[in-house]
Amino acid sequence: MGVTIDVRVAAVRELAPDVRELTLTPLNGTPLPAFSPGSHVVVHVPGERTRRNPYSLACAPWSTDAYRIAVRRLDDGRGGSRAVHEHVGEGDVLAIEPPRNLFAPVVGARRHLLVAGGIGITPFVSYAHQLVADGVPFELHHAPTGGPLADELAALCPGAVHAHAGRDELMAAVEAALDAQPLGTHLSVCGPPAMMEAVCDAARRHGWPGSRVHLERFVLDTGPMDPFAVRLARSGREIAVGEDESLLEALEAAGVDVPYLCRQGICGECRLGLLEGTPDHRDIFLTADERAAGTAIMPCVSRCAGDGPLVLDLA
Amino acid sequence: MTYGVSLEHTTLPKDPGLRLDPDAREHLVAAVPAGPAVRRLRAEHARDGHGPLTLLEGDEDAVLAALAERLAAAGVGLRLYVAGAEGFVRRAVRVGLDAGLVADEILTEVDAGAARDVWCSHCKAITRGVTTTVAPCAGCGRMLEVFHHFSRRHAAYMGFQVDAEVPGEIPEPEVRWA
Repeated sequence: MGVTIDVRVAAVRELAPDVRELTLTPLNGTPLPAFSPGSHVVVHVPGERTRRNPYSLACAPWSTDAYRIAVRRLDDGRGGSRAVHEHVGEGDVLAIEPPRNLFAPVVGARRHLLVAGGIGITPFVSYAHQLVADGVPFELHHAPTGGPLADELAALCPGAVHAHAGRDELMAAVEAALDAQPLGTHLSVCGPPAMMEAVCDAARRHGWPGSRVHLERFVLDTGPMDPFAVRLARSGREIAVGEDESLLEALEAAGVDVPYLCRQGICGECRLGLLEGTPDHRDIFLTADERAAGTAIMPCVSRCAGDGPLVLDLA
Repeated sequence: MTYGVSLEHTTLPKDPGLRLDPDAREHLVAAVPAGPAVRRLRAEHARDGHGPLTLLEGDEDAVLAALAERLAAAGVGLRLYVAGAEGFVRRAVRVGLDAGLVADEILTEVDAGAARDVWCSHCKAITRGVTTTVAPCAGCGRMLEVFHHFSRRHAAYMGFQVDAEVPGEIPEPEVRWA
């Protein structure tokens, strides 16, 4: 499971009816690690079954006395965000994993065009602090208007933060902005999948190559969570994967150590060899060819098509 | 010459050829001279392109100066197409990268001679138009081996004194980049 850091929930603030902000402070006064803009932490959310949910750090990268995360309640999720809303209160102690980053700003970019939808504004809090400190120009477009995080960013960098009422207003502003960026600008987007797709599509139409477009995905289509079985080929062990857990979680619960990073089907770290069985791929890491070959699976999100078993190249 | 790594996996420049990027909304062509590759590109643009296509022509230095000027005022969405001699193509790519283009936005074709620019790791001078595996440095006169290491910053290949270890032992130059 790797290193964890115990933190105290020093404050809880309602940012919106379905968004709750936690301020996390170190237990013993040891500063928390500084981090790079766009970083997230994996929070071990207590409950009947511990969930390990990634949340962007919504504070300055040098904020080592307190981290802030914003958690949107997803009632159709796997319960981690609901548990944060219902069961975590001020004074509680939580375990988090040290920050890591799958959404760092491009080094050497001369200007940043940032686009956020809803809770997708969170990684841009650390971006804005860093870019203001470094004197790198940027403009941030977000929707909807309002919210304490957006207000905080608007105060931090007046003139660079543009709030839009809804999706249509946001997209109109993004289309205009895409046509007006000097060479050397990079586009970073975080928000719901449909919104990110719309921004990517607009970028392509305006002549932006993929290497200038950077995405932070925080919601993947999960699909039904039917139980299935796996067998570990080298030991012959059988492990049941329940309807409320991922394959990765089931392996961890059975004491099988699998390296992981994002737990969202993005990074590729937890890739496992698949010897038999028909996988239901839900990651965005494997290529179409790799999916078709059916010889690898990302256990953090992917499951089995049918009852299984999936036969994994594990002991 | 033997290589430690496969050249497929090095960062040596690769030239994909001048192919129109139909997604671009502005096309800037720097070609000395404007030969068949540019004619082919223009035909593709007439068929599939949108946005203007501008051709910068003239001698190499004039084209590079005009290129820097155009790019300073350009926005994201532009593609740069470069054709000509190896040394010119590399220098034009550097102008593009300096202006903030990313590699994906620059398409290149070497169609007017493969002679290389070589940066001397001793005196830092750049010798232009090197066609042989061993060649004298235009700055310090040392005989340089042209090494398969390319610097994007210098827009030149690295050269080092070929007889540094055994003075006077200079292999026969071999014409490789005519």
